Amino acid sequence: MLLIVWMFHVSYSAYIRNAVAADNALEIRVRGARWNWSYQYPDGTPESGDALYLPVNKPVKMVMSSSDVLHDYFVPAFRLKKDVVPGMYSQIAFTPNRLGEAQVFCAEYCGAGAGPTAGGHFSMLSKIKIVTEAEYEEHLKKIKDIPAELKDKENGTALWGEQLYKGKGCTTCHSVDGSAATGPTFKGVWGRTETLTTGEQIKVDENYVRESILRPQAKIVKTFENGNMPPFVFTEKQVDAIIAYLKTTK
Amino acid sequence: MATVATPGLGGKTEAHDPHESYLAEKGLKSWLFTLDHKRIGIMYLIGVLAAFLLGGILALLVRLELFTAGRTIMTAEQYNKVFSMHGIVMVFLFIIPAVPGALGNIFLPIQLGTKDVAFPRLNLTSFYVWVLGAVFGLYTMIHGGVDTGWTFYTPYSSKFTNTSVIPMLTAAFILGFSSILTGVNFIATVHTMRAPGMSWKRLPLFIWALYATSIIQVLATPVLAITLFLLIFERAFGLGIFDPSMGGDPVLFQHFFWFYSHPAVYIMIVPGMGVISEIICTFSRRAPFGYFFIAMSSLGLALLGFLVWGHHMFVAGMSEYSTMVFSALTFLVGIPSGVKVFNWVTTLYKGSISLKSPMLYALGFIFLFTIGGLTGLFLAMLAVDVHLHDTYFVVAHFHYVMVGGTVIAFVGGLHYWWPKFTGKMYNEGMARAAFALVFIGFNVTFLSQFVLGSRGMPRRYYDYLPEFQSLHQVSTIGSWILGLGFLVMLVMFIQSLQQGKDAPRNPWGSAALEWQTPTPIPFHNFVDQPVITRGPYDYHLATEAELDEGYAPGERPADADD
Repeated sequence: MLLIVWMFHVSYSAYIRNAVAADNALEIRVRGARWNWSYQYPDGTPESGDALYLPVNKPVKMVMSSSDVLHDYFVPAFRLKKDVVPGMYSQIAFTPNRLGEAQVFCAEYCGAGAGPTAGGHFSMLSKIKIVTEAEYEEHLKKIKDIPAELKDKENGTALWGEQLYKGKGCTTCHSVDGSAATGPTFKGVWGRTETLTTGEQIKVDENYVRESILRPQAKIVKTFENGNMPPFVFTEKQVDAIIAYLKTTK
Repeated sequence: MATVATPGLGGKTEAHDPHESYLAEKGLKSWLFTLDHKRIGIMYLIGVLAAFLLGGILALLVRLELFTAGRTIMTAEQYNKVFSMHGIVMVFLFIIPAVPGALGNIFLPIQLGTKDVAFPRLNLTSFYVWVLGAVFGLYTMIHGGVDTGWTFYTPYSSKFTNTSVIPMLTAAFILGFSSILTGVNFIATVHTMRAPGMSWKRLPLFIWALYATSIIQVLATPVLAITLFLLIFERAFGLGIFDPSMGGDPVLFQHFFWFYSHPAVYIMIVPGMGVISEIICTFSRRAPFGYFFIAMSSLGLALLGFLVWGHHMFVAGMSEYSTMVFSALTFLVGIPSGVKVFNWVTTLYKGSISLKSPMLYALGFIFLFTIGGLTGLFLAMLAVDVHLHDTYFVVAHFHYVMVGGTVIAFVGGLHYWWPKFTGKMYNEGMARAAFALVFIGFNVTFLSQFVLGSRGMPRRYYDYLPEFQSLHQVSTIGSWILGLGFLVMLVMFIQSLQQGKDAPRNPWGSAALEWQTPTPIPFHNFVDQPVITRGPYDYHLATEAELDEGYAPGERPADADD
């Protein structure tokens, strides 16, 4: 019995360490789609699914989503795994502490294409390359040098988020300078702890922002009961862009 | 040859001589329309063995494909279908009905000292519902099969795959009803049909296990039916309950699915544990250590089984607090399982052990189930599960519990009761050789998978990285040994039916009730209504005549005494 309690305690503590990210964590966006992974660095630079570069000894937080079926981001070398679920964001946090390469697998069955050369669940692989800080910066610089017109224009950047914020009419109710309006201000909104009409406290994070755009009436911040915001039909990447933008409205 | 009577209530009319064997009546019709629980049990047995053969062939194909990296004998699409069909056939067609449907049907009424189950017509219905489900399943296989895995996770199963998901879901839906009907029948039988003197404290442990299983079947299976029904509607009409693009939640499906499928694990293993309790008592010639605790641990597993479904979803995106609760509850499952294992081992202590083939299977069960159970504790540990989830470690773990546990118990029970319900002895030497092959083959196949999984080899992979190749090859070779073992067993049983010596009343010298009735079993199970004056394991109260192995002089088979 005591053994069981001890086993539970040890494993639960270790589990929580990988669920909670450090404040200064490098935030990597991970997207799963049959049968590839793709990445995006904190500044919006996209990275192909072949390999992700990470600086050693720096805390990392991965925010992951899927555009089709269930996937699962599995890094055996880090003893880490998390399902990547369509319709929600999932997170893992870790700090790589050794230089080298780590294999990434998809660990949630996601089918296979037809024909001998088609990919499938088994070929949804990737790598994480742990490099020094200097090599990481150099790598980022190298992939950013790709001419702008070749880049994917809809890659969920803050700039695009700002355009959406202005273009979709959000400005009517949400200010960015802290002034009062029908809805909560976006100034400093990211990571803020809000009190809901139910009295519950909630931290503004990816899932809350997503829910508030797609189903605004689900969780309303106290004193904004009369806001009556309509639901918006946004693509996943548009939601990403809004999130990226909200992180800049400090 | 009996006069062919129109089946009245329970198919029993006064036309039957009380000494006549239930096998005496011949003709296909006498089998297909029978209401006799023993005949229904035998039809179940033939059905589940056919399903086991089919599932086994699919398993061998999966292992053969994995013998080399890349393509060995089939494409990725075919591979996905083959492993999905292996899982579906084994789970829904074989392992859930195996022990209750076949062995339970034959021996539950006999162990209770009664003529039949409470609802003989319902019993036959349950079998034909199973057949209908099996037909749907086979139709789907011929039609191209499904490639969703046996878990049918959304949204892959609802929107993305183009295989025949709907007929397969219908098959599983129908098979669920068969399971519920058997459960209802057994509960009613245990409550109302016990022989005079068969108090709850004298119930054989196999009955306790079947009783616990029946409760799970009745309570959990409807949830599966609803889930599959919703999924059928989702796929056919775009209902949107599990589809995120329509506001649904794919994780909800996993909750629904495992709310049934975790208790279903106990539907599979608990009756097996009941079989093992019977075998161990008979071949140690003593009462079980802690009868009450073994009986209650079956009910304990039935209860806990409902509370731990979330441990299949530790990395699925549940909140950290839910995973905490499910992890803690999952550890509790270790307690009744541990109680059983410790009680079996203490029953052996100072017992008069005879190592006949059923006992070999029982000992094999304890060994394999203990490995399966202890690795279950690893998986209950959150941080460890994060690494091992959906890898070959999990595959090895549940095969140790399902094959090393349930299948070994089922086969052990088959060896144990075979002389009673067929009236024939089998070749003990061949039975032991088959056991050795199965035991070695099984361990070679699945021990290597524990290693593969802990090194990070994910499940359901058609192809793999070169570093995994050698262990995959070991596992595949193991699967051939395992297959050979089952083949030897099949030959042995067929040989027994054709040329086996007639079995005596009580070949193992057991004190249990089912061995007191003549062999082969009379149509009404007993010549006279038995009155129970002692428990099934009270060897100190049993008379010499009851325990006598019952061979007439000169009739004793040469290989029965080693």
